[in-house]
Amino acid sequence: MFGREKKITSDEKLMQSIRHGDQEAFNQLYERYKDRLYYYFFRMLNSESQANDFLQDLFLKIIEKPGHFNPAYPFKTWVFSVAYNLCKNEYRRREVRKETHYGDRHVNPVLPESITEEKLVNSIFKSLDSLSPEHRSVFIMHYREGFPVKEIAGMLETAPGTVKSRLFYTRKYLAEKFQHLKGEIEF
Amino acid sequence: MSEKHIEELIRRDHVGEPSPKVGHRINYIFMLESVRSKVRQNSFSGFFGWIFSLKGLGAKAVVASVLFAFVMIKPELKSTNGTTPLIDSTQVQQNLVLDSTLFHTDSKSATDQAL
Repeated sequence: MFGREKKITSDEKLMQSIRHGDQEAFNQLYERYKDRLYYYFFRMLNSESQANDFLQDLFLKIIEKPGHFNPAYPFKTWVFSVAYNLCKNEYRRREVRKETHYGDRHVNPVLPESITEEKLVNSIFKSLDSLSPEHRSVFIMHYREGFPVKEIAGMLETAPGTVKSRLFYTRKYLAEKFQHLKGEIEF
Repeated sequence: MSEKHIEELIRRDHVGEPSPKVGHRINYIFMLESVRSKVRQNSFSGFFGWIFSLKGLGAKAVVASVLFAFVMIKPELKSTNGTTPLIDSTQVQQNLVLDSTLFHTDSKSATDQAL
């Protein structure tokens, strides 16, 4: 009742303070985004250690070149577009090393009907391994982060129609993979 | 389960938290970086660098010409030989004679005329 209300500073204002070397602002921004970005990296790269490394790389970019952020745009959109580009580069590296082969990976047919929620989500993402990073990214950004199609299009530098078709294709693909759970899941 | 349920399912998904070491590391790096930038801010090297660089030549020329015009218009700033500017007595003209050997006075002839 008598306590002072804590004022919530916008991400964009925090970024301005970070430019002037405000450590508190940096901590606040890190606390706001660390879990969301970690989730994104983890689900994109399927690796805990790489998720940590990429999270660190992204915040290093913010420290070293805060001027790259344009305050005219939302910080959230910008930071996820940087995260997407980091993942895209990693996928390219993996492609060179021939670690993944999109489209030709065999996904185990899923799953007993008494499947738990955790197992279901894990198997959804395992199935998405067969799709391109763009499909995977669109799926996470839309369903996890709640980005509208238009914003995702801006982040991925592509047309909104392409994003829509990627979402549609991903849903269709998952519907085929989880056909036996048709009664429970509707993609 | 509808698309909305999928959304809820994905939103409820938990994959753990990032390592605290990442937070400590980037906080430390931020501290180092901000200290470095503060040192840079306090030094004049940036200003002198700008003064002697080719950047903003137009602005520099304007500032220089304004200063020059100011010096030319203000009489106090002109260097004068043998006179001392008197600030608060506009009526008094005081001439200083620097070399006594060159001192000429008409006082004698004036006295003679009077006599």
